Amino acid sequence: MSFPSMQFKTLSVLVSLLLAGALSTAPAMASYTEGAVSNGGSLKGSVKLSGSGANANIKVTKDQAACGDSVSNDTLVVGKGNTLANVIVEIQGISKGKKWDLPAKFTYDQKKCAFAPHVMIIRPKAEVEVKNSDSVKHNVHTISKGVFNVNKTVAPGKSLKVKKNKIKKSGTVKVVCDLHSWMGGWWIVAENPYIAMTDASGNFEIKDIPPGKYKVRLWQEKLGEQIQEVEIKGGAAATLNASMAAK
Amino acid sequence: MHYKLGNLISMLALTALAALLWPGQAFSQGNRPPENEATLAEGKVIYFDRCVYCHGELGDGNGPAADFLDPRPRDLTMGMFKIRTTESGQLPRDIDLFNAVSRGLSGTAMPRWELTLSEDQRWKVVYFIKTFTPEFADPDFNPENFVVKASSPIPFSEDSAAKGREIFLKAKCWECHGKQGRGDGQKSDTLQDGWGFKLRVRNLTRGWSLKGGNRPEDIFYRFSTGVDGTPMPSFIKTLSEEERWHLANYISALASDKESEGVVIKAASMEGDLPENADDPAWDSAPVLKVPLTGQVLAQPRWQNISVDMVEARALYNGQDIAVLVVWDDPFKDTVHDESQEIKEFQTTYVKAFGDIPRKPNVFRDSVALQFPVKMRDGARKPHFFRGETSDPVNMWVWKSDLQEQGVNSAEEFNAKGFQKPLALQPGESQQVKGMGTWKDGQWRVVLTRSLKNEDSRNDVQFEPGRLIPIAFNVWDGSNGEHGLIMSLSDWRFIALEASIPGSLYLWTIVVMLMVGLAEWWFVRYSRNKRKEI
Repeated sequence: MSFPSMQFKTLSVLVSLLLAGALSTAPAMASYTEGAVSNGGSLKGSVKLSGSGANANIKVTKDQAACGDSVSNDTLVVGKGNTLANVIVEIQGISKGKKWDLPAKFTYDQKKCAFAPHVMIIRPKAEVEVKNSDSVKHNVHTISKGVFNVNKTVAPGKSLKVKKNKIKKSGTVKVVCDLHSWMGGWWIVAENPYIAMTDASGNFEIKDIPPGKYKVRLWQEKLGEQIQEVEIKGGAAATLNASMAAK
Repeated sequence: MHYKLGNLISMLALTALAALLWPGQAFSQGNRPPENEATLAEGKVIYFDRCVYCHGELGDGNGPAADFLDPRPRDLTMGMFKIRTTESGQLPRDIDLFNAVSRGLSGTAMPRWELTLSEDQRWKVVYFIKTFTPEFADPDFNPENFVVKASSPIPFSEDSAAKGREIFLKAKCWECHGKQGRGDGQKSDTLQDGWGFKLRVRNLTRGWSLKGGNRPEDIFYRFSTGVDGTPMPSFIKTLSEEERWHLANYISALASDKESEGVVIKAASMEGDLPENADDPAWDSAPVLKVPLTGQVLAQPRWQNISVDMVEARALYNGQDIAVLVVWDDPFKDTVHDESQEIKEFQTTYVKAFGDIPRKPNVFRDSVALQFPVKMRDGARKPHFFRGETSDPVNMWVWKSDLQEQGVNSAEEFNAKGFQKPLALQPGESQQVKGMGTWKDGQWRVVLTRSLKNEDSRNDVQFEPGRLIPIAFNVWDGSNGEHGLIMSLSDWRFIALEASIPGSLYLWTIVVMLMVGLAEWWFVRYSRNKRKEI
């Protein structure tokens, strides 16, 4: 196969690919620059569930000696007054601002056949130690769109260490154990430090935000995502109270 | 012609090399072209000529053919590859990609490109594939730093395989792969791949469908590296290298071949009643013929994502009857049939891998059909292997799991005159085939029995010893969504009843030998006497 013998169709496809390549944005390795923020504002608020969605515990079907008879279903954690815990709130598109206030090292545990914490915010290039505190074997299996993929068995009492440069892109990493099908957890690799997760009563707060208009992304594993717009003024606290619809 | 010969020679040479060396060095690197702009550009041309239809213009595995394939074509942009010699989650080495392109991936639509592309071309296309994943250019992700060590292989021995079996049980491989390795360990079909598509656990006894190859040195890497994008984890942290070699030897011993020699099911003759049950030891005396099956892609709706790609058949007969035993692997026992979920009309001529038909347990029945010509001819002429023809009908014995579950005779007799027409059920008095099936450890064993001859020679096959009678197979796996023409099928094989040797034949042999001996003795005497006379 040489160029002259190539069909027109193939050529046109080639040309369109070249164009697409030139126009497409660089992969999601958006760089973030740390610096001082003067006269920053803050964003506070709470997230509620509209509709109902209480979760029954999951019955454990194997390894009951190590896992117990049931585990709580953390895919939707609803508090008093329908408040939602474990919702990720992130301000998008800030490429320069406060210093990372997330540590460089994280520990993620597997205890009683559940991941702890259920959702964890980490930063790019973070080191993660995934422990197995149970008396049975687990496999740490991550599912993500190119952020970080691993699937290794971890013996009781041992751990899996994710080295510093393995997680470079921001994004969402689902963690499962295929040996215990009910186990599921999430790592959220932040794009910038302006990220928070709602607490048990559905509240969150993000500080030291450079003034401006931003898009805020809310994400919950079962309810999906929602984009809100906020305006942050210097030295002031903005409020964002959102509700996510039950599915 | 020249072109083909060249390919054949290079293929043979490569196969020889592959057999001699480890997979990591399976191909000589002497002819490897340099990785530069010029070779990348050539690789790109090859990609758009050969790979784009499945892997897509953007390399994201969304080419026009993608929806029809299970497993789906690899998304080359995520840096996630199944068959590697590197640790879990790491990028594959160049040689891994080159081997996958060259050998193809068994059990998938990925062909063996070593049959069509030169070694030079394959390297160039590998270089281009790497450009879809930016991490290949990042020294932190250099796959050469994460190669799984395979430093001290343990050669195959029964002892090593027995140790491997222990490890298979200890490491709980059977929880997914099944106690006998038939991929039947999971009670439900909830496993998914990294893209959210339902995933079938590999049947380890079907050596030909192991994607990365079925030699111990191939298998070793699968559970050492894990299969990225699937629930198959890496056992590098929980099993020692020695344990993993024993396990590899055990699994390589589980893997069988797809075809046996010959095309004839030699029905063995026996005295007394034929076994009604599939587990009867009498079956051991009948030789097995393995028959490979393919997806039904001759008529719409065409289906290529079959789950049953081989049946084992054998037969026994006595003075009156013949019984055929068909054995095939199926991880889920489906014994119901919901006609309302059958798909009557299709938008496309091929059935999509996901979405078109319900591929889950307890919707459609499992079923097998034996097909015979009605008219026997002495020449090579046979009816079309796919349901016969108008002028040359076939007789079909169809066993249905749902009928058996209902406690009625599980076999039905049909006639067909080509695939365009629906199967014609024979009237009640002509229904003479008896069926009996059992399912255990991910395997169906079904016996179909009928008299050798009957009155209905216009519609039914008639068996007579010493004759080659064509036979073909259709199989439906209900939990794979198969029903109607969505099935797997074989082409013609033969079934032959060994003509028993009459005792008088042995006597005549001795008589003839004696007579020849006598004649020779007389001749010798005669010629000696003659000589004396001279």
